[in-house]
This record gives sequence, C-alpha cells and structure tokens, in this order.
Amino acid sequence: MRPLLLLALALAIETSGGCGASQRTTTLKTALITVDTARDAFLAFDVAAQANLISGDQTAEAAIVSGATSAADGQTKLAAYRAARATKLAAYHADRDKIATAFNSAYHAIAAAATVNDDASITGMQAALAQLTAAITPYLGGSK
Amino acid sequence: MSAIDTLKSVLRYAEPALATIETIQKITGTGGLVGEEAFAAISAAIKSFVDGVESDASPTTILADLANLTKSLASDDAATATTTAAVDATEDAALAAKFPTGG
Repeated sequence: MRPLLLLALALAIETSGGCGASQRTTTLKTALITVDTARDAFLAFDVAAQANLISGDQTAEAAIVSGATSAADGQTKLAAYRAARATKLAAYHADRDKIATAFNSAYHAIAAAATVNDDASITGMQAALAQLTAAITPYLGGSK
Repeated sequence: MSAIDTLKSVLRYAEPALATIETIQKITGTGGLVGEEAFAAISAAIKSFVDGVESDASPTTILADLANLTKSLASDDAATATTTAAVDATEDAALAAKFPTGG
C-alpha cells in the first residue's frame, strides 16, 4: 500500500503535464482519484493512530486507582496522567492537521483546475499534489 | 493486513479495479518496487485502473470529497474523546468506590 500510494501520487503529478481538453479531463480525474485514495488511506491511518495513542488508557488509569493511597492521591495522579494524555493527543492532532491542510490545498487546487481552464491552474495543482506527497511521506514510510 | 489488502479496502471500485490490483500484486510480489520495467508496468496498470473508474471531477464533487475528509477527522476525534471520557468516568467511579468517605 505505502509504495503504491506514493507511486500513485507521483503518477498523478507526472500525468499532470499534458494539454488538450481530453488530456486535461484525464489529468483532473487522475488527480482526484489519487487524492481520494490517499485521503482514505490517511483516514484509516488516523483511526489506527488515535486508537493506538489511547490503547493503554484503561490499564494505566486502573493501575493508578489500584495503587492510590487516598482519594486525593488517586485524583492527583489521575489528573497528571490525563494531562499527559491530552498533551500527547494534542501533539498528534497538530501533526495530523498539517497533513489535513495539505489535503485541503490539494482539493482546492484540483477544484480550481476544474473551474479555470488554464495552464496556471494545472501548475498550481501539481504543486499542491507535490506538497501533499511531501506531507504524507514520513507517515507512509513508517517513520511517524 | 497486507499492502494489497489495504489497497483493496481503501479503493471502493470493485471489479475492474480488483483486476488491476491483482496485476499490480503480481508485478510487485511482496510490495517492493524493482526497476524501471516494473515501474512502467505498474504505471500502466494504475493508468488503466484510473481509466476504468467512474469519477466526476467537478468542483462540487471535489469539494464534497474534501468535506468528507474534514467530517471523518472530526468523527475520529469525537470517538477518541468518547472513549477517553468513558475510561475516565469508570476510573473516577472506581476511585470513589475505593475511598467512599473521600479519605
């Protein structure tokens, strides 16, 4: 999936350089299908990533309660754990939102190219797809 | 889930798409890409796949696809918040049960 998705994105960029009405239609279609595919893969990743981030939650909180020496002790430790969890989730969301922004740019660039029939819009779409590829590459490569 | 299984699951265009994916699977073997020849073959397979997919690249459809992404991410976040809130409520109750007088 990962190399294929990257290949598909690369292909969309590669095939975006044509001209003529038919070629333009094919280019836009290819770009949209590619970005939709990348979006679906990204959403699957997001579900798994968030589940992974909170997977030990129940066990960790139960351990805190089990080891608490008083209500106040338990409350303090639970609050600290939950604050750390919130920080971890916020960091993930901030990272993820960079990719969401790249998707946003890509979709708007494709929409612009589908609306305005000029070379500049195709160039802009190519740039947006390249930025999207750059944004998701660390995730697809498994380094995130 | 294997790479090809994942690709199948995220691509929702059944018959012609699956045939193309089978071709890609045969070419890539374990999923690794090897050499110019394989790259060209895979590119051709993907192009063939794209040609076989019905897709309306109108601005309305494109922006609807973006809205789907935004909505799905919000849904993921809501699910995470619901899960963590349930855990927190359970463990708050467990703590209260362990120290019923608050001591």
